[in-house]
Amino acid sequence: MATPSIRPGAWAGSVSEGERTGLVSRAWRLHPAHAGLALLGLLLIGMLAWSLAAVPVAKDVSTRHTQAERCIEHGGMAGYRAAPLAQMLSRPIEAPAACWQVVSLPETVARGPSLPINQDTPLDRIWFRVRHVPQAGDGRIEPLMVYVPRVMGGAWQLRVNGAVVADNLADWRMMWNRPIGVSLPPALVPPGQPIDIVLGIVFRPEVGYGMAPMTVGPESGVAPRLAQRLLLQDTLPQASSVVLLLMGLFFMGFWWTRRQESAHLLVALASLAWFVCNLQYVLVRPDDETLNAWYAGIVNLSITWVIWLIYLFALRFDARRFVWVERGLALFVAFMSVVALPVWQVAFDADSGVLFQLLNVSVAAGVTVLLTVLAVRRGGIELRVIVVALWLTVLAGVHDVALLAQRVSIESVYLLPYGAFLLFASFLMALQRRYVGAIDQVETLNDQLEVRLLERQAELQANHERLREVERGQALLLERQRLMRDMHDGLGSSLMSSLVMVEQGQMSLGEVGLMLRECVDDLRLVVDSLEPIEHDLILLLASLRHRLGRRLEAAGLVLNWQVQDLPPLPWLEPPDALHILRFVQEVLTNVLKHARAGHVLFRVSQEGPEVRILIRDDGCGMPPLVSGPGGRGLLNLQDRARRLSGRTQVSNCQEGAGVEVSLWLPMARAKGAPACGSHIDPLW
Amino acid sequence: MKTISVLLVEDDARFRAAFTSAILQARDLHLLGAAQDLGDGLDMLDAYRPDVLLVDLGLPSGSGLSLIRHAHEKLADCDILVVSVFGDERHVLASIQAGATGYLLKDASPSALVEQIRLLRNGGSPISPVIARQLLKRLPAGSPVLAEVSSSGDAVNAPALLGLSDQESQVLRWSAQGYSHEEIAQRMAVDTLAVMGSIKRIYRKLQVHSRGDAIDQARRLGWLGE
Repeated sequence: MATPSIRPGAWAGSVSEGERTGLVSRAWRLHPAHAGLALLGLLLIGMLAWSLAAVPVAKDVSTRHTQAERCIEHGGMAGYRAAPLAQMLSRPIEAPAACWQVVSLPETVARGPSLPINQDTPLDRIWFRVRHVPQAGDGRIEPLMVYVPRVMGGAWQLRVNGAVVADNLADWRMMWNRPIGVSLPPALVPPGQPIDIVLGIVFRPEVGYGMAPMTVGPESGVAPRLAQRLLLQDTLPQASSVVLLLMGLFFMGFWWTRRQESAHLLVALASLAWFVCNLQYVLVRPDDETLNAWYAGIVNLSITWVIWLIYLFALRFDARRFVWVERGLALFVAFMSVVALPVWQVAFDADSGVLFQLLNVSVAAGVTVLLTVLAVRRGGIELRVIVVALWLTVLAGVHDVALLAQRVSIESVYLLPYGAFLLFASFLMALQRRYVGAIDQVETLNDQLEVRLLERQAELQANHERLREVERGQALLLERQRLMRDMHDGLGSSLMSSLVMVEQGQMSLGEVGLMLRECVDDLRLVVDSLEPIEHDLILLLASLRHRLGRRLEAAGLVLNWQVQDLPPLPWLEPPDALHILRFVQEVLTNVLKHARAGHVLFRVSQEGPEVRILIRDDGCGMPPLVSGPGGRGLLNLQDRARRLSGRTQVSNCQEGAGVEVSLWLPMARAKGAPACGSHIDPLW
Repeated sequence: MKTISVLLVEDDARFRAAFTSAILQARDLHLLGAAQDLGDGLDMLDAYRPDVLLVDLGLPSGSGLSLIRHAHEKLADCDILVVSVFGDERHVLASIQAGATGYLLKDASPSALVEQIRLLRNGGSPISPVIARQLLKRLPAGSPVLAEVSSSGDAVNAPALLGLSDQESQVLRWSAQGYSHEEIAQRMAVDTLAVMGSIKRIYRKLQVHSRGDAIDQARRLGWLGE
């Protein structure tokens, strides 16, 4: 009984119902595998039709003898082995005329299972005699050929006009699947004369015999039939054996690398078992009785194993697991193994062989019915195709068992090797669909991953942008605050104080103009500080000088400009530039206002890791008020120097010797170090 | 003394008035007209053919650059003086490339304006440190002047070859360091006008070079036959 239970993910290909319906809906596209399978099926059907139809050969003048005289001689030697068979065949025909009876071919006589097989039972000898009348010209131009698709029984011997022409003593155990094809020596065939062709078969009376119609004619007409029969009974089964062996090895290798997928192992073992089964079409059975028994047992049993394995495999194409079916199959295989192998000395004869194969076929048909129900109810395309192939194979099996039991024409061909083609093609298609499905899934997954990755990247990018936006906003805010503070302290306060003075009438027009010019100058400082000067201190100072030069001149001040090119200062950004500009301007303004100087030395030089800006006048020094500890101008300078990570020194020289202001700036600032806290020389 | 004819193109009425009065007060200057905008400026330029074109860079209907280019191409003898607001030196450089040889900041005093016009007519041009630095960057590597600049880490491999003389390069270099024209003249033992003349020559070379660039490009694009 089938006990359905939800089965755990047995192998990678097992899919959920949802996916299954997906597969089903997709299945109606013309899939290469379906097309291939259909093509193979058509090919097989075509071949069978071709083999069964009597293909008329051009100018075929051969005769198919469906009538013969036959005589059975009882009581021969005992022992179903080569030696007694050869001895029995070599004896002359002693049949009296009364023995010969006309029978129609094919003639098959199968005994019932009542008679036990016994090695001591004397063998029988049977003769089929055909009188062949050659057609005009027959046998003169080309030799005559005798062709019998199949005889059953044992060894055979062909005599023409009393002379032995051929026998199958070399491979007599293969008589069940080897057609007889013998070219007659021209010497034995007198032109235009009728010839007597006699085929003798030695057989076991308890098993029976079989004889197909005999075709006699020129080689050109008969040989093609023989070739066709050989192709169907020998070559193609051999080809299927090779295919099965390769498939077995291939899937074994596959399973070896991915052992969690036992389906591959099942296909591999089924292929190998079927390969063993097919050996019977190829290998001549050994003459030794024990060896032969083992050989027959293994070959017979292999079919049982094939059935077990292929049904285990097919059952995996349903979502559920049928534990009881699997257990039942295992029990069946165990039982059959015990029966088939000669270990237990269970008597095994032709009829029990038929029984054995009938059991196999019945079990196969039973499981196929179950699978059919599953496939019809909810199966995917794979299971449906497999079920169709299974039914065809089961039918082939039934046919073969019937042929074995001599219930169908002895001229028929064993079909099971073709079932192997069909069945394994369906397996391959199913696996291929699983693989394609898996690959599709992986690809879809990859696509999704890629999309997700792109999304994540975009998110990251957006985050980054936002962060930068924030940073930029922060920088902008700082810059704006700086500018506002600057405007407030510089331009704003100047304008405010001037406004007050103008309103109070305390400023002359000239003074107003001067004041406004100072304001514009201040504005220009701010603007200049924002100029991109590429960290070039000299360029910054040069621009200041370029602008102020004329005015200093106008004020009667001679500027002694001594600068040289400097490496860029990486830290020199607009806020620093403004501090430097203001620093210099404050010093120069002081000189103009208080020093009464005639010359100003302005020197920029590099001193080790620092740049020194030196401004020295030749004026009268600083008034005590300015130079005192509370001197605002000095505090301003110190503050700016500190903000620049630099230091300043103001030397109030002796009266009349002027003032020297120095500003040291670092060539490089430690990364991230805030511009503050450098030491200040407390000279003022 | 030969008078210098001046055409003024300036959209700001107050500056126009200030410039006009400054020019009118100078005896050796002769104001041909004062245009407010590009179109008028072009018409008057073609009609009056002034000695000096005084042009504001930011005009309502377009950049003064096109006017400069026009004057430079059509009037070979015309000196072009660009008036700009401060903080605008890149534009000044562009107008020099277009054909201007002098520039003036709007906050310059009236006397400075007249002075500039005369200087320009006498063959001299001013230069600021920023413009000098910009031009230095265009100097080819390997020139003696540049070698020194390079060692200070300040120079860039300029692809363009201006073909400046040593003196001209030296003028540029000192100008970039903030030395005045007078100081440079003193150092070189020449007079100030000679220094300013070399600056004007530098500008001319820059213009020729820019034009060469344009022609090369046109040839590359297939606008001109070989």
